[in-house]
Amino acid sequence: MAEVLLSVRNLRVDLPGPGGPLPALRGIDFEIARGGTLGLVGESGSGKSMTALALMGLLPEGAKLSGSIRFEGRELVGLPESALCDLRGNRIAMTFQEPMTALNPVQPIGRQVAESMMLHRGFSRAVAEDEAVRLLDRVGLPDPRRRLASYPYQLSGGQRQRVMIALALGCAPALLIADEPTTALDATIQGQVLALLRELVEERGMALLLISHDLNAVAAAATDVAVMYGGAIVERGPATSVFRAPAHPYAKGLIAALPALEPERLAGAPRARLQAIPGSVPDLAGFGPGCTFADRCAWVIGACRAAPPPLVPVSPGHSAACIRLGDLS
Amino acid sequence: MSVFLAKRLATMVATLLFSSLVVFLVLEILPGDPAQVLLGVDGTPEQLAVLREKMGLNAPAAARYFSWIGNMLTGDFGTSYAYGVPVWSLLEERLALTVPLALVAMAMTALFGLVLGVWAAARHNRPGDLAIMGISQLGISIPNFWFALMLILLFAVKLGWFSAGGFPGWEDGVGEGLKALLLPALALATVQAAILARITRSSVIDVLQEDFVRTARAKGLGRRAVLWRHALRNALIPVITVMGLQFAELLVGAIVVEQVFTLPGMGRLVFQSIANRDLQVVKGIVILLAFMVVAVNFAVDLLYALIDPRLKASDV
Repeated sequence: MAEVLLSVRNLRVDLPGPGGPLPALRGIDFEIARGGTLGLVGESGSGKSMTALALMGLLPEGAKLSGSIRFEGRELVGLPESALCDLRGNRIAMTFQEPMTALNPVQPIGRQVAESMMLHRGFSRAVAEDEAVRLLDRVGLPDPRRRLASYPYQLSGGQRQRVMIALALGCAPALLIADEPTTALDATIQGQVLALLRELVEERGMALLLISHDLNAVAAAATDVAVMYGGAIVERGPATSVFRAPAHPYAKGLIAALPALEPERLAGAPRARLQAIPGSVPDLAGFGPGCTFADRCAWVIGACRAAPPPLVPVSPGHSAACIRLGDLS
Repeated sequence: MSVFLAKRLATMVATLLFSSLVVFLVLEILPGDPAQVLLGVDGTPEQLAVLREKMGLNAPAAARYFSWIGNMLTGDFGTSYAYGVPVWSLLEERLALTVPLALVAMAMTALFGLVLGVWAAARHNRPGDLAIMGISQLGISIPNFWFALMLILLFAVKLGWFSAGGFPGWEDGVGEGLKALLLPALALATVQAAILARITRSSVIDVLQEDFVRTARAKGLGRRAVLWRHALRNALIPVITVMGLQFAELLVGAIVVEQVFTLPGMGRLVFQSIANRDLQVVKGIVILLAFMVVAVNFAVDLLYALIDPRLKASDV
């Protein structure tokens, strides 16, 4: 296996709540190799974005962070703000879900893309904007030199997401966190943006943490997958293995809920009923001490609610956090 | 951009025309005959009739309205009944006091309001923020005429740093004139600065929650750099709207504060003219005030377009 770039151990985030701290992340573990792509999937509220913000050191005010984040051999938990500022946008960069609101509406995009290079590389504005033209060209924005003076509202959703990616690439980060990069986009554009991310990972040797609730997006781009539910990772492993043979009841449900374009259905065969996971994600205060999925799980037994289940291996590199794995298969 | 400008200019002209009509009609139905006031109680009906003819009061209302508008366009605001001099010469004199007074007060409002508002927002819910909010609540609650009296008591009577009232004019130099306007401007600006500080604070706090602020932080910018480089310009959009409205408030407030400081400004003139039924002067003042308010709003619209590129686009 390639050198480990990012190693997260027992990462916990507690958010301040009216009745005491609420666990948003319940001690998660994962790793990303240099140049690797980890897809983080789960419903909204499962803790995917919280994981990203914890890695960036941009948790909401009052949030408590514990555990360990080792990045390029350096511990990030407890690092002072100034050191985190040096890393952000430089070694670790992030793109955000809604590129309309994630870009400053009153600043031309050229300046926004150039800014991180001026900050971390000490480039002059002219040099940084030349570099911005190259990046915008690379991410496929047409006529990038002229586009430097454009404002976000003058671009389409797909173009804005490309600008977000160019903005994140400025200082050639070792890790790119892409939070729902395709969610706000049309289906055809989604494929283009995913293809672009894959190309960039390949040509730059950059690692990618791809956060999405869209399993198809993750399946298309990720080498490894971690499935989150209720602030915990319930299953993780190589993408092919997890998608082909999901082990955890939640992951099984998630993958079964995917509408597939099967040839026989297109040919006019009767439609299979779409499967849904009953219930919805409870809010943070609604989880007991045991398995977070217990309340929605068809296989739940008393022991599930007693203690959080550990991740146990199901095949090489593939593990799931369920005490009933043996009974399920 | 030119379409945006043209639209705004047209709105400005329409507003002025409408307000001139309102002013004219209100004074038309107001009881009291200016000729009678001028003549006094001893005048005979014959004398009154002659005077009314001379003052042009017998012409139909529509004719008088249009000749009034037409004359104003050439810079002729009519003649004061009470003083017998052109209205414009009276206005000019008073404007030289009231406009600088309102401008100084506006500058103070902007300075204190913006600085304190941004400072408080950067310390959201911490002691500095709470202190500023407490002080501004106090500032909003103080009536400006009372505060003016307190300022006179402290700075003029007790400390003797300023004179208690009056205005030396601009002949002795700008410094002396400004010094005389400082306390009145402070009295005027306190409430508005307090309001502006609160609005600036909440606007900056709102903007700091926006996604693009998180993007800026994700680039590695520190909190302060994000505030100055990204948040402030976005936060200014609602703030500037309020500042435009505040300028109108300051002009109106000046009328009261000028009384307290015995300043010979527009406020004094408008009081006297209403008491004397000196309608030409009253109409001139109101139109002038309306013009200033509309002009400031026009300037605000231009500032919007400079700050927010989207507004320019949506209007063109």
